[in-house]
Amino acid sequence: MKKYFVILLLIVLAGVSGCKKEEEGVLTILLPDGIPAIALGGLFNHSDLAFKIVSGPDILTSELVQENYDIIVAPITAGAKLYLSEATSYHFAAVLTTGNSYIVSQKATPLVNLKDLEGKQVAAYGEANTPDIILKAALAHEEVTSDVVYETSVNEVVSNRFIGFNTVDYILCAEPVLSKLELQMGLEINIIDLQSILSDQISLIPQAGIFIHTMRPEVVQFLDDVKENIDFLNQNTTEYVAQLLKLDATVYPTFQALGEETLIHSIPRSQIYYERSITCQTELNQYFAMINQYNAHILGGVLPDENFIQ
Amino acid sequence: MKTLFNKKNFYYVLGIAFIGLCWSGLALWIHQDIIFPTPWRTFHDLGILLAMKHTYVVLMTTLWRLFLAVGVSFILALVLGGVSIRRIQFASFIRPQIALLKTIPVASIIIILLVLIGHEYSPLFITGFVIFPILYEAVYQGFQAIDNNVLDDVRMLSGINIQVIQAIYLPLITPFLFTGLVQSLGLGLKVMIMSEFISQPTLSIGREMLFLKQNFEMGKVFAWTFLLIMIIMVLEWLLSLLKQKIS
Repeated sequence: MKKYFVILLLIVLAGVSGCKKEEEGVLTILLPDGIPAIALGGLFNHSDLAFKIVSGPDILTSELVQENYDIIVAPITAGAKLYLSEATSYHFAAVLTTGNSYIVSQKATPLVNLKDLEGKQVAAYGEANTPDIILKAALAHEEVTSDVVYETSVNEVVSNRFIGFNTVDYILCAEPVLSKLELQMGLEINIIDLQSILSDQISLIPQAGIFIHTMRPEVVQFLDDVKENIDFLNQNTTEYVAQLLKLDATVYPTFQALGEETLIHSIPRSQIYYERSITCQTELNQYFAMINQYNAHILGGVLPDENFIQ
Repeated sequence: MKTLFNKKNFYYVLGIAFIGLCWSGLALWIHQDIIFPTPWRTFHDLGILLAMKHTYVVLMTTLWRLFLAVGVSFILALVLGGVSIRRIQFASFIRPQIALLKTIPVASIIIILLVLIGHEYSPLFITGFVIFPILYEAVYQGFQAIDNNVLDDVRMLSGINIQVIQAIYLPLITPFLFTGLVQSLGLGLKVMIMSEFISQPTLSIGREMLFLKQNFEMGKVFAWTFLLIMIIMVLEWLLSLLKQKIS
């Protein structure tokens, strides 16, 4: 009996001592899967950067409250909300992706313009977040009234509301899932770009942002690398995708799951765009004002002050 | 051979065949592998998973977390259960905390711990909080079930010391401990994977399943599920073997 307890105790001690910290001098970066991961994928092999990809916004929000990562890529609305409630010490450094929202229907369902959505049910995701705000703003812009039902993610929208049992005629979708519908699932679909509808109303719809603690030299270097990487991916998409597909699929499974064709097809529509927050303050405030207009609960009807950006 | 094909086993196999039939029928009716894969698609994907070294690394990491959570909870339960049985005041003091841990919804624990300790270590604590009351109750009930005459003899002869605990108490409460361990391993693995699914720590089955679901690879999600059922069955079988050996 005694030896079993000794073994148990050894397991516990070994397990506790096995909890390791990240190496010194390595920047730890937390980011969401999907387009932000595609946007930064070219940097995943850098030895002085340690990336961790998560799915969905929940972990990003909880980690923004803590200080476990040097850099976090998160929805700008989440960062702004936490900043305004003094729950985070992270500051907004740069825009990484902008609005990537599309209305989609099966080929047989008419979708010439947003007027086709009048009185219809639309399955959406990202409630009280940028995709939802873009949808509401676009519907209001076209003076269309629709019944919007929400799912927890774009994948849920597709599997539950587009190809599952409880389908609706129109869904809100985003890249890279949109390209996956067309190329991997072979669906014939109609698409409307919501960003283009809103282009006369707002010039920049920032979606994912890079949040940092302090602008240390390593962080400045990282931001420069991100800019260079994004310039490269937008100009040499095929070459960039080849780089992504060479990454370890067990660590970064999404790239392999999407495949070369889908990745190449999705990047131009993904709205990957880098801009330092200090150079787009006017556009940011315009965007925050739009959020307050369509959902005052997110930011409480106020704009983050100038300390939010760094 | 004769015992292998007895009536009881026949109905057991029939039960398994019924599950397979329902699964196949449902999958054929839905006819969408990305929503509900067929058994043959699942076993094909299981083959792919089993051929990858990464699968074993992920599996061992999750099992390691589970054993750590069960191990720490078990030691704590033994200590606190032992103190509770000796000091009635302590048993009363700890009862509300055990009741709180038993009744607090797992979702609430996950939300609180995610913000408090971050996503990497949350599953360990979440699992620990869920299984600790089971183990504590097992230890406490085990001690309570010891015959009063035995306790009187111990008090009269030597009082409680390490040798008495090792030679008298532990053998007497072993059946309770094993029941608690079997329950906590099964429930612990379920809770561990659910919390990994939500908190997404590095190298975890829950995270793997989440990313597979996000990439519409439901065949592999089902394959992982099948693998986990097998693991639980093997763990319970190993524990029953150990129980037989000890008792």
